[in-house]
Amino acid sequence: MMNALAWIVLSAAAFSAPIPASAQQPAATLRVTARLVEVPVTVLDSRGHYVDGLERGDFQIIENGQPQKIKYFEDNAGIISCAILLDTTGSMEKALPRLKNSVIRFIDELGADDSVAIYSFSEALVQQQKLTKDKAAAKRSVLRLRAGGNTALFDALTDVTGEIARESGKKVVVVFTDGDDNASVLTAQAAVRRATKDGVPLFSIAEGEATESVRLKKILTDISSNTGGEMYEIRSIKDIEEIFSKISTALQHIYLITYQPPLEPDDGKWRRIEVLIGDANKYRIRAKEGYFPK
Amino acid sequence: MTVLLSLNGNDERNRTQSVLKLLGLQLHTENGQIRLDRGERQSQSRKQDILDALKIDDLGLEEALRAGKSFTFLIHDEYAEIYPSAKMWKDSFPKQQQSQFALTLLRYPWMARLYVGMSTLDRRTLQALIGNSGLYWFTGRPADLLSLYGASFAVEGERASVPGGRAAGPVWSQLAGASTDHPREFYQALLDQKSPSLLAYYYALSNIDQRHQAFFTANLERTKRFYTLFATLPESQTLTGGAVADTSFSKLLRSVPIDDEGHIAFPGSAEIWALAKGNSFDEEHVARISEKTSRTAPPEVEDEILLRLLATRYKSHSVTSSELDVFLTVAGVDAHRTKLLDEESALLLAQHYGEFSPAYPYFTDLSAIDASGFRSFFGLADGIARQPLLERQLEMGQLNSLIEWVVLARRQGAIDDTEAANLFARVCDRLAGANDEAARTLASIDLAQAILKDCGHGAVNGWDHTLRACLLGASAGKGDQRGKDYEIVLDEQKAPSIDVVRSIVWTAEAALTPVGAPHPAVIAQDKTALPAVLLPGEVKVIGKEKDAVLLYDPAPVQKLIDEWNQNAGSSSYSAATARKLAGEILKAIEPQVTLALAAPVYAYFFRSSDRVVSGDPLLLRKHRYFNFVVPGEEHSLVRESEFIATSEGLGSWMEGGFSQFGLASGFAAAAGWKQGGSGGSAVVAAEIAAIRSATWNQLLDADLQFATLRILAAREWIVASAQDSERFTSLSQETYGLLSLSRRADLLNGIEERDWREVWASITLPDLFRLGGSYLRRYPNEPSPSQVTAQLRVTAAADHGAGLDILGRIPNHVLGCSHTHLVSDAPYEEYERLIVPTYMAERTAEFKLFLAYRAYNLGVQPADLPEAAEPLAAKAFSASRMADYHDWRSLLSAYASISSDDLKNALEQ
Repeated sequence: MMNALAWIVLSAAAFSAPIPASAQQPAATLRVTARLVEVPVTVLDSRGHYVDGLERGDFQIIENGQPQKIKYFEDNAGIISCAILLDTTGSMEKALPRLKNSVIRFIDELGADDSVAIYSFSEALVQQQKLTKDKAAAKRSVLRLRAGGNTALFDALTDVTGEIARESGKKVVVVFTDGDDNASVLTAQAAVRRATKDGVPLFSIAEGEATESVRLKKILTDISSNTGGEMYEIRSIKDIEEIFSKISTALQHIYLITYQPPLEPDDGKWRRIEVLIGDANKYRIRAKEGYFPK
Repeated sequence: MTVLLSLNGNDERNRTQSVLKLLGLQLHTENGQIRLDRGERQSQSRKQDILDALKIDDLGLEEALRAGKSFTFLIHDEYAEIYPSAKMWKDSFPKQQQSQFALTLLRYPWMARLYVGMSTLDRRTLQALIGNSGLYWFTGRPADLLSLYGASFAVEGERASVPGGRAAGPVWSQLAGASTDHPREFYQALLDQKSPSLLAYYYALSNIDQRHQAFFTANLERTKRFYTLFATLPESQTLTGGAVADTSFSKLLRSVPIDDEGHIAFPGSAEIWALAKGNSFDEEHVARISEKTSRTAPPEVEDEILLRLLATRYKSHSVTSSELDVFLTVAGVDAHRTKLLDEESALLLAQHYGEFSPAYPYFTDLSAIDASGFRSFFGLADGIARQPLLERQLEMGQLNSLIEWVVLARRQGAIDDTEAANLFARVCDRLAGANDEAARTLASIDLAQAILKDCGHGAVNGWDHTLRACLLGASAGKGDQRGKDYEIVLDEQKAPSIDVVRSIVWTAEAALTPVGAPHPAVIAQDKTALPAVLLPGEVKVIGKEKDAVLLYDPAPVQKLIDEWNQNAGSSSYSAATARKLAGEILKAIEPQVTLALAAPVYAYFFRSSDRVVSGDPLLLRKHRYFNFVVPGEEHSLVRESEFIATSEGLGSWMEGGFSQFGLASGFAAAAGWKQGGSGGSAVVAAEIAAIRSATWNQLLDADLQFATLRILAAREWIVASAQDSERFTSLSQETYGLLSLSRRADLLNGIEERDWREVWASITLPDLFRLGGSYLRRYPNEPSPSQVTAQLRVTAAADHGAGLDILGRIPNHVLGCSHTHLVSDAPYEEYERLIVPTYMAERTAEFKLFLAYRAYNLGVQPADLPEAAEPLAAKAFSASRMADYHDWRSLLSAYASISSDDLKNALEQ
């Protein structure tokens, strides 16, 4: 099916799920960890249309230049766990009604077996609804949201990516914010690092003041691209629904590739991942760029 | 009222659409299917709040309409009771419109203020205050005063209940000019004073504990003396209902140390404090003190000293203090000691208060330090202040870390008081003698060895293992949860191992021995043994902030080690090169030694789940032992521990020494905790600190039993007092200062009226615990004890309950320490009006007592509690509905809401 000679090299990052196997030496500690690495991948054709129906044999995974054996493969039809993180700070009062309606429609478009969790954040992160298949419960929790308080975006992002990463299988985080961070105890870099380490694709939507902050847009773009998600800007409240619709579509076209890298010393250094598919000219791949082993 | 919505028929459809419009919803039909849109205009979204207010399930509504069904919802209509009665308001103010009382209050703000004032009084007190004369007299100023101070008005029997109890009745009668036997006249006299200062003074005294109430109302002269001074202070004229700052005077009322005979226990001697003048504590003056000094003084002298201390103010490092602050802080240190402070020690502490008081919590743990130890510490700190900035940073890191090791080992019982004091003195003396980087490195390693040796756990498994056992207890191995988490924190923060740095230091040191030293060994370690944490490339950090973090880069020492190993492994080995490299290594490794010493303190107080630990590997390396970044601040070398939160630059960091690190790290840890209400981070931080600073492994089942029996005995006492007048009288006496006067009135009136709901609502579980202690003192023998009280006496006689302090909070503001105590304190109400949230937070950090009570009743072993404590406290905070940080009632309700099932679940997890 695929032309094995025409591999294209694309950046990808991976999520590490550690299987501890540490060994100690008296004078110094040399720690190795066996892990499974999950790589969510989206494939588009040259016109930007999603490519479905690819199979395990169509993909090749390379970590730090070394080809890896794919252990598990899940096609784009698999179920998905989605964490939705919504800014409910004071400045959101105007946009919140439209946001609620859009999120409710977004939830309606998830599959019956897909799960969704709802989080809101201002100074603190609040889990409004645990991961559930009960869409009505999720929608009710969205309808309960109220606006107020400051923005601790980086802390919220760090916590939510950490929590959803514990779920097995395909998962994504969708974050919506309208302002720059002013209340976190962690830095933007910490949030980027954590999200990258956890490797959950992050779809970010910036609205209002957030679209005017070059710094924040860069941070959201970095996190999204490092994790294989995408960053969107909303110029008008009317665009909210359209963006959520785009994300909803994107979620239906994610493959999940899992591999087990060789045992190596746990030096905490960045591992670069490349996802290869035959016929470089035909496809664009959206995936993560690598991972930090824990 | 029931509202029915339906689309069956035009009339119903139109009516339904009108109702939906009121709710901010719009009905649409799309492809033949009905859809309910939530309006997105601001006016519509505000109306949608009604959906929540009326608990209308709009998704259910949409589904019902879509299915062609009707949907109903209820609007509850309730009457609000007018206090004390609508008739009284109508009779008192016949000219005002009374048909709609709420509108009347809106129309006449003075009536609303009066209503607020009246609401502070319980029915019995209100009846006694008003009699048959109606409310008119109270309009205007009395109403405003009532709203501020009414909570201190209470009637007990036929008398006014006053601060100091019945014995203080004549004192208050004299001051007010009306007898407390006639509550109406008495309270009206207080409200009718030209100045509100007497009422404010009365209020202030009503909210302190029994011992202090008794002291300040011991006789008319004393009460007058302090009132005369109080009347000159700004707080005496406070007429605003808002929060106020804590003052030296309120600290005096709460915290002045009083012994069992009711005298002030002067640290050192009374004479020192009699001569103290404007922060001078002039030694010549003190030298003139007669050798026959005394720790106590006659009552009038006591008063004179206190009043003068209170009146003497001075400024140091831009902070205004009074001598009273100095006195109370030194008294806090004194109160922790078995052997009380001698004059020289007390004087030293007083003299150095301005510069070094943030370190004094160390001295509440290391309670056998003598004058020479204090001198060594102050001398060392003066010496460090002369070092260049970054060397100062490292040396303060070593000093604070080593002292905190000693403190934590002492708390754990790994060393005794004398060993701790000796180690403290040794740390100060040895570091004072270390004049350069290499010398400080060697001194730090020697001192670490000395501390671990005294800990007595042996060093068979290495220093890291020994230290963990010393700090956490011998049982806290790598296998148990606490031990594991300790290791994970070290790992997350990429802390160098103490064994690794010790091994490098000793290998290098061996080459510095006189001529004839053996061929030096290769320094065996891989490159990750001295871990590096890189600065994020995207962040621009400059100046001292950057230099201080880069200090910890191990690359320079790693390079020297490589050179060393080349030389040591070479056939052309050079002893001279080895000596040169040894000196350089000892110098270059100082930052790694500092990190290795500080990291265990982080691992002790932080948990791997803390956002600042798991999300920020630089946290340890960003620690600023003093503020070397802001010009001018670098002179304050000894600083309180503090968490500085920011998402800018390199992010949040810890600042100051480790003397109150438990409290500061509580703030850092609180960042990830969820709260159901608006209690603020201080409340969570104080509770986390109280949990993490507890030496849980010393808690015994007998402690849980003792705490529970005290609570049960207090309950029995209350119930018995409904039938037994003697019990009722003793209860009324013992609840002075335990409860605010108004809560006390609720309790006693509730007992008299058999209103048990009111009784139990007026007293908290920690109040009951303290009342149980009073019971033991009050009734040492009883002819026919109940099962509970009989068992309580057996437990008390066996001297159980030694570990009760583990279940306490950290009373930093009261006793100046940073460890846990189950101390008596002023009622919660004393802290309600203080503007700084940490006071109330500290007062209410009592979750462990609730946990202990629940655990004992469930048969849970103390060893299982530490792991359950934080998850359950987190659950309580999540469930709490605090209106603000003063709302102690909601917080304690949330603590009480933790059920046996919650505890079981937490233990299973």
